Amino acid sequence: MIGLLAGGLIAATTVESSAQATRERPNQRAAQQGWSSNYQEALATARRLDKPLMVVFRCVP
Amino acid sequence: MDCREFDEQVVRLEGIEEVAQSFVLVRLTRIADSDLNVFEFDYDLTMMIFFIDADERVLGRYGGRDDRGPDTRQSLAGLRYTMQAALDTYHSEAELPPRPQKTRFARQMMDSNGSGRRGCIHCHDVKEMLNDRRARQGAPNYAIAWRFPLPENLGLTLEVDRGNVVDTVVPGGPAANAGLKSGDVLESINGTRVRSFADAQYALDKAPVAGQTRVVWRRGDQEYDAALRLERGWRKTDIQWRPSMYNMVGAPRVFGDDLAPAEKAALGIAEKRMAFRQRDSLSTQARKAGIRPGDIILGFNDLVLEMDAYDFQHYVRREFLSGDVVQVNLIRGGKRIKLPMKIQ
Repeated sequence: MIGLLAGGLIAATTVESSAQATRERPNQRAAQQGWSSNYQEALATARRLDKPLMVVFRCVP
Repeated sequence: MDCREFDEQVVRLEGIEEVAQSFVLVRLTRIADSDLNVFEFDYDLTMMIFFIDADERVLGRYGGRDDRGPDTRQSLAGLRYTMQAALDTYHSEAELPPRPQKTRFARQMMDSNGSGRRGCIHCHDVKEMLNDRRARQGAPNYAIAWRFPLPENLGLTLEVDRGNVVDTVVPGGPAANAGLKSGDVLESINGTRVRSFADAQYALDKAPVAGQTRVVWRRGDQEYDAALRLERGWRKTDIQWRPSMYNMVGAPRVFGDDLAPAEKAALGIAEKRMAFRQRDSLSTQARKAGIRPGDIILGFNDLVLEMDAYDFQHYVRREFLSGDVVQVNLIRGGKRIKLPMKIQ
């Protein structure tokens, strides 16, 4: 019984870790590619550089 | 391609790298602390792109979908087209709508409605909170459900790779009657600049439930301006894909097996008309309405439907909302009768 519970817990943790990894991969790539995740900072940068902003909302289901 | 793949392509700036250099790029995966009055969109979507200036004035939008899937209305070419249009607007003398004075944050809404929720708020959660609020204020179901109508509802489709270029126009539809033709370039709808499918949906969302709205377009060097006629019910769009509206989708509550052609002929029913025999198990709503096993169901509200029993299930989910009362047309003992039934 304990073995089953432990197995279930490991499986659940693995699924959650996998979901988190799926969410994080594009985020990490985005940072490497020059995407900001700090909106206020980006607004200030846009004003300083006289550039418009492209704001992507990505709600990972 | 699914929405995840499109998102990753956008992250990698595939095919948009050059034009992207003219923007400050921001990618937000949390909506709780974004001002919903600036970033007003169809929150059932999982991806939406805004082009704004440093004063948070909107230059354009990109995104949107329909019931066929999350990626039917977007392409990298289409995104590049809208990015360039936003850039042109930014560098032009065009007057932009001012940033809304009031702010509204999803996190404040969560706190004020006492949900006690913390952490990740999905975009559709925002939609659900807004829907709840509108329902409490007395908005009818249809006003909550039929948001962000498709251009098709007015008899036109837009190109995917050039989001404000008219692809097709349905003869006799409101767009055709206003004078629009394939290849025309939309400038604005209802006073909102249109450079993408998302802009068009946003503009149509602000249009009245009936009456008319102004549309401006270009054909070659010529600019045209006309009123688009909006018949009552024009906003109706399939909501079955929307996570925030699962509880608003109507279910037929009657189901059964199609009649054979010979059975239809014996009852005087046209061969193509839908007619099915209600199965023995009855839903609570059907039982309350007085429907019995074996009744021949012809449809709702005296409409002659040319479909089968399976398609009828989808038809009702598309056309009716939970709470609607319909007249069920049926045949019992050779007699045609009507029974009112509440769809839930």
